[in-house]
Amino acid sequence: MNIYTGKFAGLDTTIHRWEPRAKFIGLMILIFSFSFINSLMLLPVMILISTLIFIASKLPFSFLLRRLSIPSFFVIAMGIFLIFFSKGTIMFKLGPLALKREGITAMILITVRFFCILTIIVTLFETTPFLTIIKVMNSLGIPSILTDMIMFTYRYIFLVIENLLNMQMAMRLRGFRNRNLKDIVCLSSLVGSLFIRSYEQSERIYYAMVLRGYEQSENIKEEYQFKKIDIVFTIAVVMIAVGMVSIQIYFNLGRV
Amino acid sequence: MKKNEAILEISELTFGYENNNAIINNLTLNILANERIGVIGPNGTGKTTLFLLITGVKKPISGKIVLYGKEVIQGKFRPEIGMVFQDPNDQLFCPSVYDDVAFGPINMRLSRDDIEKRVKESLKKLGIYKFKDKPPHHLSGGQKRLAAIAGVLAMNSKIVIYDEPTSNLDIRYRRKLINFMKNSNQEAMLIASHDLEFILEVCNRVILMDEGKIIADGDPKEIMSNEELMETHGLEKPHSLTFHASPHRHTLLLKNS
Repeated sequence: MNIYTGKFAGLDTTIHRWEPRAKFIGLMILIFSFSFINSLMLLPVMILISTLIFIASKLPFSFLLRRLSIPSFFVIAMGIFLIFFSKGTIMFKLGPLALKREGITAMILITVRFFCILTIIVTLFETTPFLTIIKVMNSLGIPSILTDMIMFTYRYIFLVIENLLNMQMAMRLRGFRNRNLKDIVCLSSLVGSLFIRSYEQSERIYYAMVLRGYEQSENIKEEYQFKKIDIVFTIAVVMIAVGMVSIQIYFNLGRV
Repeated sequence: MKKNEAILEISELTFGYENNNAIINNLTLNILANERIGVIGPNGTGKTTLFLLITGVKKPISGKIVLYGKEVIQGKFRPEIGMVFQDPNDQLFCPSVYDDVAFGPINMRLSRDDIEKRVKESLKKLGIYKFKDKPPHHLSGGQKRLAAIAGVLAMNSKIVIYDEPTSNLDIRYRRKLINFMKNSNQEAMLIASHDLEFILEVCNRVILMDEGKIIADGDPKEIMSNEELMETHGLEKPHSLTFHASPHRHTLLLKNS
């Protein structure tokens, strides 16, 4: 399982060259505007924008598919639930199950929004080194305690998974097969042991940090230099986002 | 600093947890410049605890630690002293090697140029500059150890403590570490290790600890060749100091041929 981001951060494209802070702000605004959309007419625009941004980043399509594969299951499951169990006009009936018009609309909206937002997130995190994103968040005023927590989770999650896999292997090598309910006790002690190990390690990490001056100085704010192209690009993206939200509001008012 | 003047003075140091026996028991120790001190002793004897006390991470119950004339206060950052932890994963917490090595210098509020210079120098000194952009989890055990040392080196610490530096190292990285330590210009080193051959090669003074006390303090060869002393405290005389009544097998083979 590869949970690390920034694998393609070394490529040289317009999206990669886009100044990190401007990129973070621009794409975040775009993501929020996407989440605001609930008109079917605006969905093609959303798909077009996210596709263009993704193509411009030159990330492999197979990579995007891999990243989307696991969350897709949840969205599809939720979509099926919405089609059959939401209230509204019945379009088709099959025994106790009834296909609802409103359910289909909601499913399309949620699915498209979800895939577009995730595509933008993948593009943002894969075209920018993770540490740069952390520094950008810091420079935008997000408290360092929060960014430190994100950084440590990112750094140590792999180690925790490795520990877990080693412990599972050790259990299997001593005959553990997880066949009946009694084996849950073993699994719970495995999780408990993992927690204790992680806790003890976090204490040692903290010591190592204190010894190298953590808590002694303020975080150094990164200096970013905007080029004209960065400003133009960001303004363009923000205008698209604002435009979509405005059209959506217009539609909403029209409906009233 | 005058010659033979202690750079680190530990006097009557005691530490322990509630309802437990003292882990460090009334320990007194002076460290002079140019000393490479090997700290040996069985597991659970208080070596790591002593290091955490010296560096000001833990607070002693009683006693005093004076570093370069100033008392060590718990939690106060003293870049003059650095510590390399037993498990490099505890120390390498940043997403890239470069950022991790730069962590100390940044907290020392150095200028950007100085930070970059120090990081470059320490990574190059240890021969791991090419790994600067790698995340620590992509490094091998030996590379991780060197990256952890680079993090301390970048702080220009005068006294460096190494906790089990050779554990999990292959022969090549062990030799690399020995060469680095022998040629290092750090003012003093404290090295806890079960690798007694390594201690013999690197250190010019040895402290044998047991149950939180110093049992013996002196010349490494003298202390480690004392079989009775070593065995009493759960240690073994190093092979290189053992008298061979019969020659090694390969010598016999050579003679026969």
